[in-house]
Amino acid sequence: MSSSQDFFSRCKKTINRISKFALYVGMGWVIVMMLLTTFDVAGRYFFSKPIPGAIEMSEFMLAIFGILGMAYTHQSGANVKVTMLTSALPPRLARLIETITLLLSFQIVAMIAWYGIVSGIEELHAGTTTDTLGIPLYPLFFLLSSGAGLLCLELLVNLIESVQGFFGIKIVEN
Amino acid sequence: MDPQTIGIVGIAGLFLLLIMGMPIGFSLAFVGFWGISSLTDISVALPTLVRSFYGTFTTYSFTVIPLFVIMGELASVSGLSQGIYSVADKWLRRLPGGLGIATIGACAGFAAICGSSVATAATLGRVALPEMEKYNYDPRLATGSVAAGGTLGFLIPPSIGFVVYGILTEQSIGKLLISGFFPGFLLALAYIVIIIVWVLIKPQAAPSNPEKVPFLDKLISLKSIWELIVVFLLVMGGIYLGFFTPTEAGAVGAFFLFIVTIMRKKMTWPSLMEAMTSTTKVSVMIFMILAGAYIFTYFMALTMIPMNLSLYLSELELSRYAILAFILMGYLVLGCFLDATSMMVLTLPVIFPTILKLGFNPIWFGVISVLMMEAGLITPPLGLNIFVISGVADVPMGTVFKGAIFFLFAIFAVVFLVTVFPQIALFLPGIMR
Repeated sequence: MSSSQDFFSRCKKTINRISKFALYVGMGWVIVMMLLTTFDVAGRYFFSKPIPGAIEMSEFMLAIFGILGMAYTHQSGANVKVTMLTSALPPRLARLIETITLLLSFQIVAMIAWYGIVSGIEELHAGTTTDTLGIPLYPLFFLLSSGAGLLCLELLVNLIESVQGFFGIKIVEN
Repeated sequence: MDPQTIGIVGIAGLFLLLIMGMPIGFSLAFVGFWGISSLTDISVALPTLVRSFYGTFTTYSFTVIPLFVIMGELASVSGLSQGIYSVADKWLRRLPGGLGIATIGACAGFAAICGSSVATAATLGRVALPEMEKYNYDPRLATGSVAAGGTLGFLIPPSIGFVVYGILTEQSIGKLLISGFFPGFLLALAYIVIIIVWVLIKPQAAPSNPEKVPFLDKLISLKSIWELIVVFLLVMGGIYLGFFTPTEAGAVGAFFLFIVTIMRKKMTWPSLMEAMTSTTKVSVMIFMILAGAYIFTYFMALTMIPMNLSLYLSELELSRYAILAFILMGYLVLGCFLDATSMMVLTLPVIFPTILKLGFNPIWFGVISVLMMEAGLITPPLGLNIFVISGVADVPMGTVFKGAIFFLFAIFAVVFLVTVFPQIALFLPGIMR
């Protein structure tokens, strides 16, 4: 049992590390977005020369910023939920309920990850691009899919912990 | 089953999942997805699911959310909050309960550059609470005034609440932001009245006031908040005069605060990383809820419940104000259990058509609902500001509740005033370009 526990905690650590890495890759784009929009506005008013395609670039940055932040946001517990009932229940029942909600969450996020790829392949064949800069859109669907995939892994870690908690197995933290 | 029954089952299922502690964004997406599947087909629901997440992360007007959030974060990092508090303190400390009033004033000032209630409460709490403790203020008055003052962050523009309302109801975000200005000012005044009355009835709540400040010092203190005034004028003035869209205003405001933070030598790597991390967390949290809301709203539209409800309610032999009062009561109850964004997302898809059908102004209703969200932030058992302040002040939550509860009357008074005189909210957006 201990070796499988060991394996699980190593997996957990790796997944958490990937989420954190994704966060670091994504979060700086908010600063770039801020600079881009400011220079676009300044260019428009002071030099009558807005940055071409600034809006499209902002949309791409927003996508990278948000999608890569999904897994970490969940991991850090920032997703809003109502804990009133679960915190008042006996721990085992609370774990059972938690397991159910995690399964349902996992189901919906896994759907996004899977169908994101399907949509991405469709867009790739259709060759959809943005209007001004002609950037192809399909990578964003693959990005969404990988962000959702990473979120799935985080949910899976929670799920395993929750099931273990239900059966009274102590989680070893090292 | 007919669509309406499926819709009602869906709503019941949604509330069940929420009570079970499923994150709100996932619950909305889950119920919306399976609702659409059962009304049409899974081949319709799948693209809708992916499109709503894709759309949320790639819609240009949504960039305003992280930009407003990072404005607030940078405002905290920059150390402007100390300046704002010391100005409010110097000008207001001699009034009865002066430090409490200074706290409200400082919160109102900070709210003018910060769009989030929780950030306003937490930032000012760290500055104001130690001061009030030093002068032996009743902890209930001290913590209550910070928790309540923090709610101003949601009403006084820039405000994330109005952005979310605007996105969900497809109203002009610029007009909504501008409409919050006078009601926010009024609410700050109402909070101050509550403190004065409290201290007049119970003088021991605010036993002593600090010594007088010479007038010259008061004037000099203003120098420390010029950045705040510039940012507010730039952001809100820019939107008001039509120079900027709200997104551009958010970017310019954040840029200016970024520069201010560097100039004040407060910008360090750890603080910048921290600001970006919490910006991501807060924004993505809102995005997840909004994406879920899109699917759920689509599901609701398929069931025809919002349409039928608005038809039914508008044909009732009831004053529309009675229906409004009923909706507001509902908000007050929901506010006890949900946070502000979730409340809007859960209620607006169903009741917004009714509001329009009853002939209420959508911008005005935005102000009213944001006010009710603020009430939710300080009502037990789940008021977000209460949690935050109890953490910052290290006092039991019960103490904060007992203080904050009185400030609810101020919110009700402002809701009442804005309902009787809608012009308080609608005057400024009405003359906007």
